Amino acid sequence: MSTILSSQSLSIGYPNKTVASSLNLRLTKGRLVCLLGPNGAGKSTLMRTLCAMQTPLAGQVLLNGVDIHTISSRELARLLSVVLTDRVQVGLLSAYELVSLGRYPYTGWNGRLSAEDHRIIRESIEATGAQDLAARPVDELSDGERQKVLMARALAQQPQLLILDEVTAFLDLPRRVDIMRTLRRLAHDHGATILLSTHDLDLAIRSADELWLLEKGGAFHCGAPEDLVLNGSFAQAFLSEGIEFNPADGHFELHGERDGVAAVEGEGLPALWTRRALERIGFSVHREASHRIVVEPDRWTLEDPSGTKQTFNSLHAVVETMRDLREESK
Amino acid sequence: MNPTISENWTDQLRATPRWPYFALAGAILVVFLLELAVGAVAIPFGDVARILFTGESERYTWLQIVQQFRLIRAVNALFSGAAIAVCGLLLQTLFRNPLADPFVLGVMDGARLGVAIVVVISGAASNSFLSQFAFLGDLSQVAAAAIGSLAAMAVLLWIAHRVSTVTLLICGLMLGYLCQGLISVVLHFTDEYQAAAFSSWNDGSYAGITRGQLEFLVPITALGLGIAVLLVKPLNALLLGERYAQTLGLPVFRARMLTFGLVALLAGTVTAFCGPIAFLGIIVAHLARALFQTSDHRVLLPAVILLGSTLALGADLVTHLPWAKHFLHMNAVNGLIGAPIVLWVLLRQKQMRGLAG
Repeated sequence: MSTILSSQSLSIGYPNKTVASSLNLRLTKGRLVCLLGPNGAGKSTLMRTLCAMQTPLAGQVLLNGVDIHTISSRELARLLSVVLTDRVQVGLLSAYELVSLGRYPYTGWNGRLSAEDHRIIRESIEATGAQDLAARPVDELSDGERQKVLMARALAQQPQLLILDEVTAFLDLPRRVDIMRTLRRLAHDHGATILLSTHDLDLAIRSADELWLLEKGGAFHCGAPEDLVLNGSFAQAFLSEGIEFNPADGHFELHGERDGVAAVEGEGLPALWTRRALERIGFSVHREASHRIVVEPDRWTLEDPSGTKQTFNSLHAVVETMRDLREESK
Repeated sequence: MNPTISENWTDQLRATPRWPYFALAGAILVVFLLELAVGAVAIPFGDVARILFTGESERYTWLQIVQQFRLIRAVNALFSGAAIAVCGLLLQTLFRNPLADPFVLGVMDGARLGVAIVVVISGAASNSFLSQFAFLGDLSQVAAAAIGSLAAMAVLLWIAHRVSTVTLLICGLMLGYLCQGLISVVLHFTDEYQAAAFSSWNDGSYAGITRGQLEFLVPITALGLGIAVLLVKPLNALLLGERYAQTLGLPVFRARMLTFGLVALLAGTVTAFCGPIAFLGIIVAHLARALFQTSDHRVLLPAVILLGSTLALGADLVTHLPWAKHFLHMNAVNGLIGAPIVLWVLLRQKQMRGLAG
């Protein structure tokens, strides 16, 4: 496993504010790494520092073992390419022409493309699955399509390392899944090394080879997603965001006020969704609770502490009754 | 992947057509010859060609008209039109604003203010010398105009970061009016001869240039156009925005400053000798994009140069048609074409917000 990017005792931030310090990072060739962290933890600062747009407060960022700030901008553009959230408005450029701008660090003074350049552009477009977009004007593409084309452009730079900042933001779920799938394929089949910062916790856990977790206050954890789940780093990092991570099912839940408690008895999907319905209206589910809901395939029975039973035929009815009970008890 | 994508997907990509370049070059030739032949005195094409190639003519007046007036005017339009058109393209990419142009943004008025200040200072310095422009070296006039346009662009640059496309346009218009006001104030301190000479220069025209000035204008604009050719690659990268351009290895600050300097040189030189040429920069850049359907500067720049010359020659020709000279002046012709284009762009703002990148 060869290391593409690394840092030792890296401190990032601004002259009057250190965002994180003593970061020892390592990016391995052919891996997809996702950088996660709550808003304001300094993800963007870290990303900017790693792609030499910002100088570190201390320590070095090494790209192929060379301090990134000593590499000339043209040479750096051949080693590292970046996809940003900046809205790209290029007027009448076609997607193909946009991707061809990725050859910028390689072409001569007038930007003329050789047959070899065209071959690399074609491969980049094929690798991101953007063939059917190639002839279209970039300004007519949807956000998701445009991100794909920008990724192809980044690939056309033939970088050792691809850094993507929040590229899945503002996209709908199918588009996000598609982009992640593309990135995985690029890493695993084409040997690209990819660092992606994202807010998409769920998708990152499922797709990344490795996660970098940056907590507010600068604490940093890295490892396989599953390791971070098991050692509790994950739950801890997002607790302050009001997001509760449930390690049992890998779901994120909005951490609202829990008001009321109920027990659920039963098995399978009906029991699972009963639990979710109760949690949705703010109940916590606990075995010892005074109110018990017994779940049967198409029937719900509510037992209150006095032993009275009420039967319902939909979760909607159960939820409404539980709400009423809570109101009365106040 | 998607099975409907054919393996020959590259077939749908279109190559840049070459014929429009040849058509434009042909158009320039035709309009150029018309410029020499048409006017208050009509001269047959055969005689025009003879004057051009042999320098002789059976009628002395024809020789005089072509050599002393029409040829100078036509060559001026050829180079000045190309220069102003290129300024329009460069400013549109630089400000990422489809309505940028040295006239609309007040850059030309900045140039004129520069010249006015130099005229007054030189006048005050050497009072005995009453001839208005002759004592001013043509070169110092160019330098003053370039510095004036640079100053105007510095103000715009300072404003551009904080305002929208349309607001920048209004700021540019105001900057232009401000410069015009300052020109009046400055001219107040000079004598009436100089002021009168200056006011005749309020309207753009390719006709006012002398042979000697043309010998300045042609090499400077040719040099400027040559530098513009060297800028096509950085300009393409700038289409992506500054941050992306930087990640592509472009020294963004240097490229921008070089481009601004070039616009100052070209717009300053042309304004110094021709006065303000309205709308040409906007018109040509949009026509070129419409013709070639791309924002790629490698395609656009030659197109803009050719189209700029064609339109400048055409507008000048219209103003010199025998029946038109009392009605039309050049900026009126430019305005007739240019103003509707600006309106069209404004009305399509939603879709066209990114036209210039």
